Amino acid sequence: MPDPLLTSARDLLRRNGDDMRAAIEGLPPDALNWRPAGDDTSSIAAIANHSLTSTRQWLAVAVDAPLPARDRPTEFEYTARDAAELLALVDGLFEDCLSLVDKSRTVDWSALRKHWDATRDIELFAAWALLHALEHLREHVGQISLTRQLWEARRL
Amino acid sequence: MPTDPVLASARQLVGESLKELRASVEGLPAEALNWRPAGDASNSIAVLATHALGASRLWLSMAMGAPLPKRDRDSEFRASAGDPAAFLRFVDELSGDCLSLLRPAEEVDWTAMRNTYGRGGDAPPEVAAAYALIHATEHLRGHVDQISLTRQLWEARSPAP
Repeated sequence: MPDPLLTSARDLLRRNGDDMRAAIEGLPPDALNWRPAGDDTSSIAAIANHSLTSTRQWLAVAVDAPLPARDRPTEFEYTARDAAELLALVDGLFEDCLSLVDKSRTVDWSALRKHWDATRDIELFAAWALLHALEHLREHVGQISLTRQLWEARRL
Repeated sequence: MPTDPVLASARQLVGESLKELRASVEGLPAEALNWRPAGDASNSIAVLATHALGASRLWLSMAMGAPLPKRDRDSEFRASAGDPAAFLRFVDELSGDCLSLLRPAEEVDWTAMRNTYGRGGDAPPEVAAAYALIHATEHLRGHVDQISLTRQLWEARSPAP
């Protein structure tokens, strides 16, 4: 029987993917790169790039896969040329995430894993990394949806 | 209490989200709790908190195989906070319910299938206990961040005197 945590994570990743794509589709470049409350906030493009890169990293930690290269600060500097470019980036990162939670894997959820950032000397349950990967993604999908609402209200 | 790494992780993450939700609600006047940052297309902090807590309690009950609490999902989106102190008590009460659910007396079988009885919005009719737990954790986190961002927008719009 496939691991219920892996199959559930896949289902929820897909739902988040649908919600993120819906919040991006049809927006012009100005909206994708707009910061709703100035420099202290992030654009839809930056949040999408950061959240999926982070999800991929945490899922790799969860299932004990090799960690992809990551430069966290630059994730927030990303700007999208248009919605098609951003959607292509999003689709590619979602595919990477889905492959990490492939149902054929066997994972010991009680295993302790090191934080992906080697400068942080922390050990976490594999289960924690999986749950955090999903909750962090949902957090940012919510931000993206709200940013779109604010953009649309701003133009009224 | 069983030492299940999945449960221990969920308890820590849900606990953090609930603390942040409370901090984002505390100290706001009723006007701020009921303010919609982008008009009718968006939700107020009162709506988001009521919905997030109602959904979390329901999904955690499903995950644990506990009796499902009463819930009228549609009414959560019509919620308003007339009295900020009473609203904070409501937040504390539902948060306590959620945390209690994560301290079961017996081990949880994460492969067990749970019937959603159509109570979880657009959820499938039957889900694994693991799905209910992960969804409870991520759904709460998503709305807590929206609440926090809505408070930031309120404060930016209406600076303290």
